[in-house]
Amino acid sequence: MGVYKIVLTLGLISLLHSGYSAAQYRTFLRISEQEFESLPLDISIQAIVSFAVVVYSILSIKSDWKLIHATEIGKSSWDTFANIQSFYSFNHRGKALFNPDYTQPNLPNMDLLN
Amino acid sequence: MAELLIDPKIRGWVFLPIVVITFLVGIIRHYVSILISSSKKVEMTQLQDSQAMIRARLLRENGKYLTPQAFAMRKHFFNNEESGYFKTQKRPPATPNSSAMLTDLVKGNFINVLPMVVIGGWINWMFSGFVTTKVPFPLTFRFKPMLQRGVELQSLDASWVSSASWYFLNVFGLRNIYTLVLGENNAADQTQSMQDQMSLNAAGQMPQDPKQAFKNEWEALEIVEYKSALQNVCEDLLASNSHEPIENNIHH
Amino acid sequence: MMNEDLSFSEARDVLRKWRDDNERKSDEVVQVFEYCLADKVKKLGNEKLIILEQVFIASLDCGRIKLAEDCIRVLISEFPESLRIMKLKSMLLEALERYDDALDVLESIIKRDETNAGPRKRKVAILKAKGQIGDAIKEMCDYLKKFMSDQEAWHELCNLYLMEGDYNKAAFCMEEVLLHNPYSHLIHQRLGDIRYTIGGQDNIEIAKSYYAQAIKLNGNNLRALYGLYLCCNHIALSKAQIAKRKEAQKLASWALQKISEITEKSTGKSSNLTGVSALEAAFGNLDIKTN
Repeated sequence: MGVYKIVLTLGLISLLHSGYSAAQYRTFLRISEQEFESLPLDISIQAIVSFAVVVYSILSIKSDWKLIHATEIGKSSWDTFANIQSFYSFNHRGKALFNPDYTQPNLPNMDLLN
Repeated sequence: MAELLIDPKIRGWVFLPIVVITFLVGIIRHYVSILISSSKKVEMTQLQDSQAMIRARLLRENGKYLTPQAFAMRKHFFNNEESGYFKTQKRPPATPNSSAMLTDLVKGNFINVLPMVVIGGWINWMFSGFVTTKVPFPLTFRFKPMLQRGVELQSLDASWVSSASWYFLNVFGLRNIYTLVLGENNAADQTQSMQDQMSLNAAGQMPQDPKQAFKNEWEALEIVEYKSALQNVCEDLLASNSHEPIENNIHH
Repeated sequence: MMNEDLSFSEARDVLRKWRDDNERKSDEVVQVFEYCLADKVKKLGNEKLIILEQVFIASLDCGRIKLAEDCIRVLISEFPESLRIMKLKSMLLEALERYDDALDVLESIIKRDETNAGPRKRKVAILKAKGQIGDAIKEMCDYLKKFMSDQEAWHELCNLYLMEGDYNKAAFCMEEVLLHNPYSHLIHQRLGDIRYTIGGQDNIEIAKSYYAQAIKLNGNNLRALYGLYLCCNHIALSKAQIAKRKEAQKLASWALQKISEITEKSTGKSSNLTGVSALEAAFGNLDIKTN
């Protein structure tokens, strides 16, 4: 992710640079009293490429690229699908298994059964 | 094409300040609307109705995966003449003069329109009489009255924009940036429960006329023809397996 | 345990992943929280409250009442009047088996906000925890009359009916869930299971098509392959038309072949002839014999 941040910064700098050089070019034309036809090819290319780089790096920074849902359709399993969070109950063995401080409740007197 | 040279001071003192003003006013508007707005109280019947609409829609869209009897049962539940949900649930017609709607309307106007008018007028008064900027693409003559408020020149190219029009361009243009800045993608927001609550809340947005909505849904469900998608699935399975092993792809 | 070695951001990410994937790894959640995040709660920023909620529920699962009380104390201090926090309080009472107090709290939430679905669902969960399945079913049906597109609730009602053995109604509920997720191979397979269990020629044919659809969506669903094999066996031995019986036989042999492929692949033994033949013999015992 750090790479993408660097790439983003470079892309932004390049974009700003291309904008600045375009403005400079126009000033130059104005001073030399030439007609403005179009930006020179290298400036336009630099602008477009740095724009694409900026867009891609922003997208990559924000989140990992996720597969389109359809390709993950076969991956779900009952382990996660059966968990319905709104209906979780807590009266299961978890409180004995996972609690390091668990103490057994008092058992009935077994002698009476003999 | 007229080549006008604009004073660079305009760039610093008009162009940028208008952008900044529009942006900040928009943010202030957002927070004020949060402070002023009352929490939307959804009626139980509204919620129930919207849930029913969702279920009917899903039945229409995905009913082909059910058995014929299952589909018929549900269609009967919704559409039956005597006992169907869409036929028997009577709702009072929506009154357009109910007080809740009025206050919402007034608040909406107050929040959105008033600042725009006030600031637009102020900008027009303060920054009038000169051209602010030029849009980078050529425009036709028809855009002149829209984009050149306050600058009455017949021969001026339609690409030149005056300050008031630049303000309005900003107002509409910056809306998407607001969602970017204010509704940032919060990692904390993406739990299943939030999404369930959201879907239940989204389900609470009932259009203002339940009777008409019911009628539309009834018609839509009535004309749906049930066609089982599972009829030929076995043949498809055998056919596709004589060629290749099954991968994780969907056949239709 | 490896959970102690996670860095702060790794711990936060793994908790988020479990939240998004709907995992119930309560023991691991509690451990990750205690070892990595407990002293850096302030650093969590926006995620603090949602993580506290997640840890709260996980600690109730593990019986760690003290940790749960700590979490909820922080949550209450942030939102003293929140209905969502009150629902969490009722869950705490549930974990302490004070079901009547929990029900009172839920009733008060419902009275304050009728459209809130959460507490109504917790009521059903409490009745299920108390073992009163019939009452839970009744409560759930009342809930679904109002909130009829809540697929979680339909799923849970299906489970309740399966507990009671009412397979027809369970199939109905699962079909509702299917309407929400038509491309889920698990739901198709479950519907196949339920239909096969009800039995009878028609239901087994329906089950066969559901199993086939499940396999189409996920070719590695072993249960669906077994189910398909059983359905086809049943049809092949029944008094159906010849064409259907032939088709069923072809499908059955294909399913058997696929099953042995997958079993060999996952047990890692390339030619496990004894294993596979034992499998084939075991098939006979899986069949539900109708007398």
